[in-house]
Amino acid sequence: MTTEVSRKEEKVARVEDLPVYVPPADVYETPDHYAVLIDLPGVAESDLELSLEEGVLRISGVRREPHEAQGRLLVEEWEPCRYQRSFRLATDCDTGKIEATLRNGVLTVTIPKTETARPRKIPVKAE
Amino acid sequence: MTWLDELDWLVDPWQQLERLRQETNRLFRGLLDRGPEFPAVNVSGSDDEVVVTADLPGVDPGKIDVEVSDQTLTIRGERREPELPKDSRYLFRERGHGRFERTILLPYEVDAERVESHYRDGVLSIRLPRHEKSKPRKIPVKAE
Repeated sequence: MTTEVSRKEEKVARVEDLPVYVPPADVYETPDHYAVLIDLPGVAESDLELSLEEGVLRISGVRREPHEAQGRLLVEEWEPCRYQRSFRLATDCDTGKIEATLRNGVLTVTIPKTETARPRKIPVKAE
Repeated sequence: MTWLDELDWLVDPWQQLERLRQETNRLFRGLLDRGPEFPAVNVSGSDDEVVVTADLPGVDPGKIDVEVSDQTLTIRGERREPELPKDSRYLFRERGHGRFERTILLPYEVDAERVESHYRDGVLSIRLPRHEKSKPRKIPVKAE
C-alpha cells in the first residue's frame, strides 16, 4: 500500500506526466486584428504560458487537481491535464503587440495586423 | 488562405487522434443523442458530502442555475456566442454555445439549505452536504 500512495503523489506532483489535451478554439479575423478564443477550464493565470518562437504562437496551461474534491471519485469526466495548442501566425501579424486575457476559463488572444496589412481608404483628389 | 497552420499534429499524432475522436463524438451527438454531455462533471463523495465540479468555461456565473431536490442536482444555463466586431469572419470554430441542462443523480439525499457553490476559472464547484436523515445510524445492540 505504501508504494501505491507514494506513486499517486508523485504523479500529481509531476506536471510532465499529466495527459495532454487539445482544447477547442475559435479564431476570427477583423479588418485590423485576429482573435483566438480557447476554452481552458480550471487553468489559473499562474499556470498559463504563452510563447512566440519563430512565428509560432504556443499556448500551454496546466489544470491541477482541485482542492474541493474529497472522498471517492464517483464520476470522472475530466482529469488534471496539460492543455496545448500551437498556431503558426500569418505574415501580416504584428507579433510585438499580442495581448492575452484569461477570463472565466476562456483565453482570448488578440493579434493586431501590421499597419501595412490593414485595409486603407485612398482619398481621391478632385481637380 | 488560412492565417494559421495547426501544428499540433506535427507535435503529437496521438493527440490529434484523440481530437479526431472528440470531434467525431461531437458530430454524432445530435444523431445518437449520446456522447459526452455538457457540462462535463466530476463527482466525488464521502460519507458526509458530495462535491460536483462542472466545466463551464465562458459562462457568466450569474446566469447559472443550480437546483437541488432530494437526490438530484440540476445545472442549467446558457453559454453565449462570442460577440464579434463588425466586418469580422470566423476562420475556424470549435467551441459550442447555446442552452444546456444536466441532471445528476446523487448517491444520497442532500441538505438543500446547506449547499454551497462557487465559480472560478470556468469551473463551477458545488458542495452538497448529506442530509441528516439520510445518514446511516448505528443501532445499539442490547445484550441481555
